[in-house]
Amino acid sequence: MRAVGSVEVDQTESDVDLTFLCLRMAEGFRHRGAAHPVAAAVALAARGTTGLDRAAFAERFGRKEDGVEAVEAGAVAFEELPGEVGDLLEASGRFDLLQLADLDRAFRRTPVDAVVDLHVEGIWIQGRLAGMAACVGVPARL
Amino acid sequence: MAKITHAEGNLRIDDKERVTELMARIVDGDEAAFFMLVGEFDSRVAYNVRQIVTDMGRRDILADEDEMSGLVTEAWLVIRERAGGWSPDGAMPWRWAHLAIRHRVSEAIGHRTTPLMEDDGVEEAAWSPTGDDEEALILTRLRCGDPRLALMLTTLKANLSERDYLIVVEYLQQQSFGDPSPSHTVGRLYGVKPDNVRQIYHRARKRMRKLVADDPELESLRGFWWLAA
Repeated sequence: MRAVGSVEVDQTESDVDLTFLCLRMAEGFRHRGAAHPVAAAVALAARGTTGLDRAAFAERFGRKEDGVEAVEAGAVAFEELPGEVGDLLEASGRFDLLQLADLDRAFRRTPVDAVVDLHVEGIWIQGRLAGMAACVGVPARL
Repeated sequence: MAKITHAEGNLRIDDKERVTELMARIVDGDEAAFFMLVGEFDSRVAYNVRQIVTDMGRRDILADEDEMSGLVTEAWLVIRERAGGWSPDGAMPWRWAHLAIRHRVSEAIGHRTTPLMEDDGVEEAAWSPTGDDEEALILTRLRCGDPRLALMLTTLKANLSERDYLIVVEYLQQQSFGDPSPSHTVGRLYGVKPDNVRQIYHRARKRMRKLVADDPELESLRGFWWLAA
């Protein structure tokens, strides 16, 4: 524990791998049956870089809100994503678009059943102790 | 620039409001809000992960940028997985999920117990975590370099019901996180009214004071900070 009044910096430089976060999100979408899971994750990441909610994002880029929603739901293929998605991710400098494109290709070639990664999807509830959560979901199929 | 901080006490009110807004949006299904949360608060999660790795004595990991990046990413995944259980009344998400993040980090790096960090001049306490992993993590987190805490917790465990013991330990832990209302947080976790949480906590302290006064084997706990009036 740090003493009250201690002087220290409680932040450090950002370390997170945003591409990996995107990949994990895409895996989840895939298991939930999204047609284009990587595209969905990428679109969400792109809007995330702007800080805008869906309506404001649509207005900013001259889109219809339900169009943005459809893209984020995985209804649009990776190669057909609106240009602003790629532009935003490139501008952030924190996403590896090639790796994401590779994953999209891999997902399209490989049926869900054959994916050998175990990713538990479910609802997390507060467990017995703070920070300990219990998953009441169903394990993804191998 | 250095800031005066006490756990999360230095967070601005608008930080808490922003985190609350984004967590609510994540729970509501707006996954873009998760990337916003990461973008705006990643430095805090990174700091917490560095603290955990430092506590574990893993300087080799601290020095490895790729490893640290992976661990911070895992920490964010923990927060995302548990977003539905977070409440704005308690600590910030990365503090609230501290144990789970610590557990994920220790799984990822194969945490070992190091008797001494080589040149920091700090002597490790005689006690080291054994037994149940969850409890070991709590005890490590609360240890504060004072080996008497382990004796205190062992004695409490022997003299309280299991539920009361867990409530007391959880209360201590939430306090150490800077939770402004630990009785509410603990109450929510255990389905107990906040007043009852406070009663259990203070009864436990009172009981410990009596035990310490009566039992010569607990003499080392006389004057211990938790038992001070």
